Amino acid sequence: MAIAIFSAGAPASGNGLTTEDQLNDLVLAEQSFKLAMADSADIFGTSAIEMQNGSDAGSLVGRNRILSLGWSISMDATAAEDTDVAASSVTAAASDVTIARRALRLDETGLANAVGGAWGFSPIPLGLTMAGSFSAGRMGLFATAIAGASTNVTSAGAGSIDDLYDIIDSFTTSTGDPGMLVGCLHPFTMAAIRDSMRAEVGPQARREDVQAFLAKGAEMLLGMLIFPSTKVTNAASKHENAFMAAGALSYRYAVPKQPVGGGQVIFNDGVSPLMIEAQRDASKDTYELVANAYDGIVIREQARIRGFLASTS
Amino acid sequence: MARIAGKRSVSRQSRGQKLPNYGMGGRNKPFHFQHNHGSWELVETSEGWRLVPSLSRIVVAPGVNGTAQAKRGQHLSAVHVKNMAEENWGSLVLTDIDAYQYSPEEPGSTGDGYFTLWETVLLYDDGTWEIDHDDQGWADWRWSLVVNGTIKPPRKKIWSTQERRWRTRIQRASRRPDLSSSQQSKTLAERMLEGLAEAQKAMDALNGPTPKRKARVVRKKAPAQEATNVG
Repeated sequence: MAIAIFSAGAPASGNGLTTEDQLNDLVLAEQSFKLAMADSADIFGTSAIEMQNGSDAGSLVGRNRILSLGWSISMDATAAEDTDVAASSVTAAASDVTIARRALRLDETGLANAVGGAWGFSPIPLGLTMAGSFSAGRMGLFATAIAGASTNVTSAGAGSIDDLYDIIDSFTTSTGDPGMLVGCLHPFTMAAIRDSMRAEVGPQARREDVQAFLAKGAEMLLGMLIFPSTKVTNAASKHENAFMAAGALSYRYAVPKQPVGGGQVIFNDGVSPLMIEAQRDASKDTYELVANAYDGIVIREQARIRGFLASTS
Repeated sequence: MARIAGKRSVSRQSRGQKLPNYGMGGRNKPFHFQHNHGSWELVETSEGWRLVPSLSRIVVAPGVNGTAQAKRGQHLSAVHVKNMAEENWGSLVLTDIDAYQYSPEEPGSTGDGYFTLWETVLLYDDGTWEIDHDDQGWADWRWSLVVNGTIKPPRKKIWSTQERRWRTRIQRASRRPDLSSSQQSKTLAERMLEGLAEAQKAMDALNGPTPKRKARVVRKKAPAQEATNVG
């Protein structure tokens, strides 16, 4: 779905929408929005999170019941040829993901617009900050969800490479957690782990290690993919980090429909949960830029996630 | 006392109490504690080393953990607790905030925040904030949950897992005795093992000794009966 910019009847520069907003390349604008939303996309692209377009977002409750086969069931070659197979039951530990509304509104008064000079009311730059806010908020939702991991490995300090061994151990002792382990750590915890690793492997490897950390957003450590995020929550002087096996969390979102009437649509690509619109309130002489997003996240199976509590100081 | 510090927004809007207090570690959402019976932590309480329950926070926020969006006049947590009861993650959820006294609402400069009873929020005029945490009070409270029977004592497996955790650490450290970090790691693990022994004694005093696993009795196989119902 193409994005509509204030092209028709846009006022001249200095009053209302500037010509800057009438972008030459609408596709480029759409890509910019997607880039701004991609901040948290990395971890959402891992196997730890099952992403799905919410199927019943049209209902008033916006709740999605997720059923899964359970972590102990795998599809093995035990079925004999030309033989009927017995039915496996879907696990009873179903969980609900509730799609909730997130919204952000930025206002620009007519006066501010008039005296604001070149800045004016620019839906694209403002919209881009909103797309960034959407991404940050989604990472916040994710971090809030992983704090609810019921089984924890608690570090005796701020986090060390030894703790990672303990986490791997806690996964392997409950056999059957599928896929590669994905971690989401607060940068402080990550730095503490890095420190302990540096001391352990000596100065030569230290340089490469530091370079690798600087070059990448995500890092492989002991075969686990680790993402840093400052959104990781804290309580009781511990950062609430987590490690996840495949399908530990479920993310559902609804794609907003193109509105009938109302304001001008700035961003609505038909696949993202985010829609940004602009409207003018003439009686207040104010431009309103409104972003709406509908999504939700839940721990699908507690067996597939371990909290990693590490000291905040 | 552990401390976490940061900076909050002191923009004109936030001073005018127009924005929620997102600055303080995102702690503006109510929460419940949950305990899984497999999750324990060795800590030093005021009475000595104890194995106390590790608690996770289930944050009550729309879109997370199955929490539904609040509608006008409807309380958010009510919806949430109902969902959790339905889903039953096999964990004990401490929902009675009044009884357990853990989630006081701390009025911030720009909105309310939810903290544990052992956290003190300090706000400064320059926009910085600090949260002081009373580690020992927090440990004491969690031990009291075991003493008063709210949380059942840990299974035998928990003790052996803890022991293995620290023993493995000593083993790893002994491979590179020349490194100072290995020495530190070993010292820590040894201290934790001593603490674990002390915690075990305290738990035994409370509940009686942890039952030892019975030796497997090898039964003599009864002589096979002849099938009589062949017909």
